[in-house]
Amino acid sequence: MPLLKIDDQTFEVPKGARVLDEALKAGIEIPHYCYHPALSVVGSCRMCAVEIDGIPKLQTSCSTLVGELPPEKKFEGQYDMVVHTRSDKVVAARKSALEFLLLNHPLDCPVCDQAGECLLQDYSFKYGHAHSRFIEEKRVRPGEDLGSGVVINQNRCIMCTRCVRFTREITGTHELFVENRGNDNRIAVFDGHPLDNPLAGNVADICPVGALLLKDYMHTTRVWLLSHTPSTCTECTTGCSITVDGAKDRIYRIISRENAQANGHFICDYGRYAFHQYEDDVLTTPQLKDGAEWTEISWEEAYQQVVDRIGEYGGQQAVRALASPTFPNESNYLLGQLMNQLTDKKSIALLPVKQQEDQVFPMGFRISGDKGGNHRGARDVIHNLAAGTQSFHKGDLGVLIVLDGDGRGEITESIERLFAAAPFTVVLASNRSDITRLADLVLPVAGPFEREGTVTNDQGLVQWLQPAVQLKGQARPDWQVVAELSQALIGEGAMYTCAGDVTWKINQTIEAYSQITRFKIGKFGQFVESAA
Amino acid sequence: MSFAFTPERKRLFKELVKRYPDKRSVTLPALHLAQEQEGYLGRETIEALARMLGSAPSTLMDTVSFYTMFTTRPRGKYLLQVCQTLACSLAGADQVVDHISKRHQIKVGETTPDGKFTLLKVECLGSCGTAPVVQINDDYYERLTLDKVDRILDKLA
Repeated sequence: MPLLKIDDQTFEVPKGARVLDEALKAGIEIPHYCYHPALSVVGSCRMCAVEIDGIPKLQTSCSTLVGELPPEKKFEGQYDMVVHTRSDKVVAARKSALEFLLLNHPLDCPVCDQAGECLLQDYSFKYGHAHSRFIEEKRVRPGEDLGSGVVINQNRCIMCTRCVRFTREITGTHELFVENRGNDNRIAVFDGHPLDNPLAGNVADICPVGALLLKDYMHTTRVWLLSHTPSTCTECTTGCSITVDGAKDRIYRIISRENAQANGHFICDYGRYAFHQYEDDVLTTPQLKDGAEWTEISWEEAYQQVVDRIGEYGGQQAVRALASPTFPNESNYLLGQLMNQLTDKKSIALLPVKQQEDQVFPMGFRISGDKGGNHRGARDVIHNLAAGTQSFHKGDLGVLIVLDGDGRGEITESIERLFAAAPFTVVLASNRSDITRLADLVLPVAGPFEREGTVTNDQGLVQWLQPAVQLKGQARPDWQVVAELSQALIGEGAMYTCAGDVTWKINQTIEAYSQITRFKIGKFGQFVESAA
Repeated sequence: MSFAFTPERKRLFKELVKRYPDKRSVTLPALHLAQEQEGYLGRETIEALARMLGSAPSTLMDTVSFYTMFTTRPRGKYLLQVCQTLACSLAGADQVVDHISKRHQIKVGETTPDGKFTLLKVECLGSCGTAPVVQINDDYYERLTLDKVDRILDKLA
């Protein structure tokens, strides 16, 4: 294996390794704009130029691969390549590259949304000149709406073409292109073919400067005011890693979090904008239906209602439940445990959620058609899961306990029949939905971005859900409400003090999850053991 | 208005496609064929070519906008391309441009209202020995004087 030396560090790298990749992996900073690990290499920004022994001119480290030298030609008798990233020559080159990139750049950081997470800003600070030597007038062009909620500020663009390569290579939709040449270069869409694909929002994420912006996020806040919570998207069974950027009780945006095991580098726009669905009709207190009206009641009264109604309608044996493919493993597991203790039948089934066609993009990015993000997890952690609700109608049908489908729950014929037949229905939900409208008692629980716990995607990858914003009103964590219900009904549940306690219980009782711990899940998840 | 090659050009296009392993390699010749036929490369023309080449309109537009010899707007019947590179410039190309500009009330890049003339400044036409030079459609007119320009344009008008 070739031996690569970068500055004073030595690495053994595979033949064909990219100098820039190896440096970044080792924590050696090489500034770069046009290079993106998921896209083809163009070497156009010139920022990543480094000095390599034996080559007279600087080389772009993004397009330089490490090869193997014959023994007699090795540098210092052992190295196949010796790279300098901090020499005077390199620093001078970065300075001049930056000066060119900034020729027409407005330097309007105070009003730019990218400020604070802008590499152009960072490196200008580090390598740039305080004054521009460019005395001519800067090129000024109007902004444009490219479509799909993406706008472009042409003046800030440095023509790295990451976005163009994204629409050509990742989505295969070819909307963006470079129009004209030289000084007239600009990113454009063809007349009548606007940016139109479900991954379009990513172009704003990969834009290294503030040129491509999301209309949804533009001018809403400053990035340094946001807390960045690593979490998981539960909008479909792909289970993308995301970073939820919020402050206090409001989410401002969701961006992709790189995870080779799940989504790679990108996320889809459904997931990106999903948080808006949970902003309206938020449930903040337990509510009891009183005729056509809803009455707010306390949590104690709510639990008492459940206990009383179970007594009234056929006792514990008649209780039935629907678990949710959109809720985390923890609340589904606890509900499963509760049902298996209340009854000796298969008394719990899954709430059906909307199904669509999978969308697969040329480079392999997949938006799953199964919108129950934790479908696999819910199946994995519930013992005695009934295949459907048919059997619920045999014998007495008493109180029905339901975990909501986060707006994606589907009221099929059998679900409608079940709700109509059940004398009393309890729904745990974060927002009003089609399901809560059918309920007799609604218990407010954490919404998708307030939940804590594990979710399992369709590949069996278990990832952690991290609450990004505060719970609204009197809403409680979903696992806690099920635990409190269990405590009220069977006197079990008070031993759980946090979501992690339930995760540990799942680890102890579900064979396939015996390797799943909070620690092992970490930032990127852990695969469940296959049954084999 | 949709675009289609005339039968003769269609045959040429098919011939060209056979020469390369990848259809997209024919992009430049196909664009030339289309522009010769239509006079310019309009939106429909580019969309139709993209379908023929298995490419995207945006990718073709990328190419079209890069090269100065392609145009996306209709030009006049006579395209006056005045060389503006060193030899012609020293020999008075600027005066030639100014003269045409005044004579027909058009600026560089514009077309006369009657659709007759379009005036362009271009880089070296490779005829420095006979500067100044104007290329009108496919013909060179050399050793220009303002009188000569008038005579040429009178003949064409």
